[in-house]
Amino acid sequence: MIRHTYLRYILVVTLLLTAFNFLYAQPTPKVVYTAKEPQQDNRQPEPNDNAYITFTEEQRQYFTDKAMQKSHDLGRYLRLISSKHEIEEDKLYAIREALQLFVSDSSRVEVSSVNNDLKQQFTIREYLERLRLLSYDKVELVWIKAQMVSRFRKGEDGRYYGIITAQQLFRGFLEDEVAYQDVTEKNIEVVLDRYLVFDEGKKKHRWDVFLSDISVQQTRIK
Amino acid sequence: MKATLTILCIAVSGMVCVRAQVVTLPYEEQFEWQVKQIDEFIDRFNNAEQTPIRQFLQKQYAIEEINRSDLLMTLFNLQKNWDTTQVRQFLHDVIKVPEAPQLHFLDNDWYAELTCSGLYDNRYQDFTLILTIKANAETGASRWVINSVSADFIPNTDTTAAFPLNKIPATQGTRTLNPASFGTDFMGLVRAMQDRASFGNYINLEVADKSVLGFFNLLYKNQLEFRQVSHITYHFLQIPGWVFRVENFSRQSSNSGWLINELIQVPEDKKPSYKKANLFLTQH
Repeated sequence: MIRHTYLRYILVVTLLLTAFNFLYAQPTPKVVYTAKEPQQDNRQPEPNDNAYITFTEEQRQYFTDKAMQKSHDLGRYLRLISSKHEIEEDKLYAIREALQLFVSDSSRVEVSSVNNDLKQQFTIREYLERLRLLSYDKVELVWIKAQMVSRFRKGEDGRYYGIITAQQLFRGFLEDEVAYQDVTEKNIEVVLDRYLVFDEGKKKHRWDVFLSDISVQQTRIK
Repeated sequence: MKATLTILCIAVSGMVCVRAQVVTLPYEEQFEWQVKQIDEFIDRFNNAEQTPIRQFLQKQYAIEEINRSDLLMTLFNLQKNWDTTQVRQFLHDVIKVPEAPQLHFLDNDWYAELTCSGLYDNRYQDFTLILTIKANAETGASRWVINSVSADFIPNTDTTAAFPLNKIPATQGTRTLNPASFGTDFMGLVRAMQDRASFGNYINLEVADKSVLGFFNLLYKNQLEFRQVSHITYHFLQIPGWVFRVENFSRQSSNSGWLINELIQVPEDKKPSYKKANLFLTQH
């Protein structure tokens, strides 16, 4: 009797927990892209203040993956910033977070159109603000494809520079009707730069990847 | 084998017919075929191991071996009428010789011809800049530099620079055009041409002539305002006996991106004349 009661108790608790999980569990977060980290010891190259560093293939791949992850993060922030359904506070937060992806606030976005020869340049902050103030009721920004096309090459300032090319579909809606759509190609300059950290009381150089200038080419109306 | 023939037929059909057929593919596939950057063009030209197109063909169609000749044909603008005899000769010279010539990003003999516009005397003026990639053998770094300038309004009489001529490395707050500047169509030039403290870093001092000095002196004195790069053509002179020009074709097609649009047979002893006439280079 006691064992049956005990088993019944376990069964009821299990059913309750299952129901709770079904009703209230968070959906599995969608993993857009995850950088595969190499072994902890191999992730950072040996410090060399004389600036010529040879990355191992594993390190190159790690930073390439990180660059791709940041470009995907940028895509997510752009969707959020341009969405009319998001509250202003969340949009402003997304702008701040997006700016953290860039090597500096003076990074620029250059926009060109197939319809005319004029190109316009904005600082990244100006570009994001303009996106926030778009007058569409709803905006769809879909990252079609992105690829790190140009490998990292060393600049005279000791940083390494590469290029990610991405295609994005943009659609703006007014009263549930598509008012404008185009496919844009974005070429994103990525910068591999060193920064100083204190690790167990010792100064160490570490490397990280940042986004930099972006050229935006409108390729065609879909 | 069937997959190989199918894919390559799609890509090279224009070479067989006089008028190429534009192939419209879904965005993702077109993205893979597009020659997205000029260094990707160089890698495909060389049939390099790790190009995105090889990885795509291996993954999507299980194509492991890619013939260099076939891949080279996909680098031509297939919407142009080509002299097929000349193209075959070019392919033969690139592929069939004992030491097949290759292109290298840090080669001296390829140039970016930039058609630019700026504001001079309250009017928009066009001018041409010729850039090359310059390697630093000591540090392994590189940067883009301006070799020559062509424009009617630029004085050709300046013999001294009105601006400081810096020395590399640029670690004291001066800047250079980083090696990936080509990736954003040299949009960094807008900022560079306002960066008067770093003007010397943007010039190839080994070959710069009076027109380059004249151009930068105008910028330095605020008489010229650089506005934008409107068009880019790359000139490749590394292949013995040949010069080819590459331009960007932005279209919804598997044949898009940076493609060969001009192929000229130029003997090696005539290449200095080509440089003088087309790249405004008087010293080489």
